[in-house]
Amino acid sequence: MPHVLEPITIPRPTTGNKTRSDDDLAPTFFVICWNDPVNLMVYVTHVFMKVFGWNRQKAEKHMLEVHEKGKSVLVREGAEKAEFYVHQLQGYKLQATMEPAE
Amino acid sequence: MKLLKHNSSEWKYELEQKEGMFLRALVAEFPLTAATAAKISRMGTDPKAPERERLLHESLAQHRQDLKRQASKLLAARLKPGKAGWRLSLNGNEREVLLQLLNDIRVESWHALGEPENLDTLPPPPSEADLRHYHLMQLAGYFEYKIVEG
Repeated sequence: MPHVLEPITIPRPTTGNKTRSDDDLAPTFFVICWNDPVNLMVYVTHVFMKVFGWNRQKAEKHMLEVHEKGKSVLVREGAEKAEFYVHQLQGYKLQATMEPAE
Repeated sequence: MKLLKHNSSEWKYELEQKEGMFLRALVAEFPLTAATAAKISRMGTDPKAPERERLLHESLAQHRQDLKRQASKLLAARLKPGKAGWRLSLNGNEREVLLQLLNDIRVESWHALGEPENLDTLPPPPSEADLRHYHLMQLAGYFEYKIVEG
């Protein structure tokens, strides 16, 4: 009779006391808005407020970052949510992309 | 064009006679192009980018169809003769539709002009098409600014 080994359970990696879920291991993406000379600054601020629900101060901070540095990382999200935001931003004709965060 | 009053759900604008005519003419130009260029990524490090980009193109094409459908009704229903010109009343969704549509015209005109860095000058000598796109781009920007800032 063959020797049967007890099944081995490999513990999942943990973060502190919390077990990591599949969502934690899924790739994440930066949603980036790129500068262009055609979108008005007030319009870009308005779009950030509408799409992300940000207050004016936060929206203007990111708009100025786009304007002065050429781009701004708006959010870091899982693939599905990042795609959603890019679709929304491009619906407003902003130059937005999603780039792998790792 | 000026903002008369607004609350969280409605914006009321007053337009001069010429502004109302220009806005109608501008909205009738949408969409300026059949398809729109769109990239999902610039860095090219996502192996799923081609599939994501295909979905983006489908989504944007549908979105522009929706805008076109809503736009044709929007001004007919919401731009009415006023005392000295026109009155435009928009709810939140209509305001967003109008802004997206105007900016689509503005950005597509800019593409047609060769994506210039300086928006205040035209390549010499400008063709008739250049002049048309230049004026559409500037007019759309004017109305966008007024709608957002009042």
